[in-house]
Amino acid sequence: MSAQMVHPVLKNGVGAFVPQCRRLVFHYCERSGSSRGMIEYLKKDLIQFAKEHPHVEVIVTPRPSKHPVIRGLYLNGKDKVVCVRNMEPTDIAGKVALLKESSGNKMKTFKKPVISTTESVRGIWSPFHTAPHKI
Amino acid sequence: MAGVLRSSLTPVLARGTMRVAAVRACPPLARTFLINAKPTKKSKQEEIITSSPAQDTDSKYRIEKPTTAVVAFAHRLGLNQLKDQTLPMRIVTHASYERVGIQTNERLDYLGAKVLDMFVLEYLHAKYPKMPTKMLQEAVATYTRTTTLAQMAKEFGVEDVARWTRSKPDMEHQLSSKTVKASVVRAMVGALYVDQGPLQARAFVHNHFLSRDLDLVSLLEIEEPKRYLSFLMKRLGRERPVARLMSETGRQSKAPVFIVGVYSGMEKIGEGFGSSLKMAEFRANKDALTKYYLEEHKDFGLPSDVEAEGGVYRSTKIGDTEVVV
Repeated sequence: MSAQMVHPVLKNGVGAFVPQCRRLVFHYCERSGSSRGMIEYLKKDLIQFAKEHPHVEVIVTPRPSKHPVIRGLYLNGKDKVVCVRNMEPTDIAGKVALLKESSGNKMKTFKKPVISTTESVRGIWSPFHTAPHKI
Repeated sequence: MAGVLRSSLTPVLARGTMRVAAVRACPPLARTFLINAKPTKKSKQEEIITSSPAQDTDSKYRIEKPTTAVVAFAHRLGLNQLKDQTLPMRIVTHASYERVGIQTNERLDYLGAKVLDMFVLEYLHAKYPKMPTKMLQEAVATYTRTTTLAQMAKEFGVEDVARWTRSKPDMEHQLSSKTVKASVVRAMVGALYVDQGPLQARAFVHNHFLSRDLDLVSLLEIEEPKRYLSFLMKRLGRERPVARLMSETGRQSKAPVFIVGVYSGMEKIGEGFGSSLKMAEFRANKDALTKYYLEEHKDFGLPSDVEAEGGVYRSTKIGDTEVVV
């Protein structure tokens, strides 16, 4: 028996791609001025967005006396919250796209150019498999 | 598709529960459930859902309108292609969710289990014809066991849509969420098989299950590779395996490295490294067995190809039975 049970590891996109954003929640305030752009976005562009992305559940809820906020929920259980106070509908659309395309993971800088599960195509160099230098 | 959008743009203040639920800092999962509660509370729409012949609703079972979460879930995994749109709700409802008139996923779960096993098995069998049967069983099990399916379900987002009951008064022990999640995944496969046919179900299995990375070498369990290998070479009618030291370094030091190759006559059949000669030889023999048993075919047809229009059956190879040691 193997000491550890092996699990097949997900490689999203290799076979099928599972979009990671599962829900977008839009909060707005009826009265506050900071929600003006948000309300315009909800009236104008949101339904089109929801139609184009049926895999994302869209929820709109009033949140009185607070700045407008968009919360994205992801399959890894994490969420991302973006405050869109005083933003125009086009900017809000940009934030929505940002949330929709995210995987839910924290932003981190990648130091390496390639991240892969396979080492290399030609194999890693080994000193035991090279001919010694001859003069 | 605008059904996914739920809004209350009217200036009427939201109900205390809904608003408070949205604002209060509770764990995300609980909060989203509260927002999502009872979608048909306000709507008086008729529940007109087309039901395909696959589902017989002559009993008191009512046709449920799928929740927005379930609709999104279906679209995420390609289940929106199902002709019978009552199936997504059925898929996510476990047998423990006992409500009057609600369909559960037991049947689809069972069907899906067999279908999944079949497609995973035929693929691995065709790809690795020489794999020992026990190892093949283990490989299939790795793809289809409950723990794996539960992990996959988590990655699909099943946790947020599954409907089940954790415990009932007469139950001895609680139902585990792993069982429920795995049942939903199997029910997905079963639903595709029933509604769309074997080819679509196979495509689902290939895309979501078999595309996953699995290191099969670790499943090859052989205690005495040297002995095994010598029997194998004898059975194959080839020269007996001989281990030769190919290169080494640091023999007297704290960290020696030996590279040993196993040869059958002039042909090298395996190679291994180790910090001792014995370990290197062990690995070399193991490598030789791996190369033989895990020989991979790249271009193969599957028996289920006949399901396609104009599909021609290409017989698959079967390797020899394992050597008797």
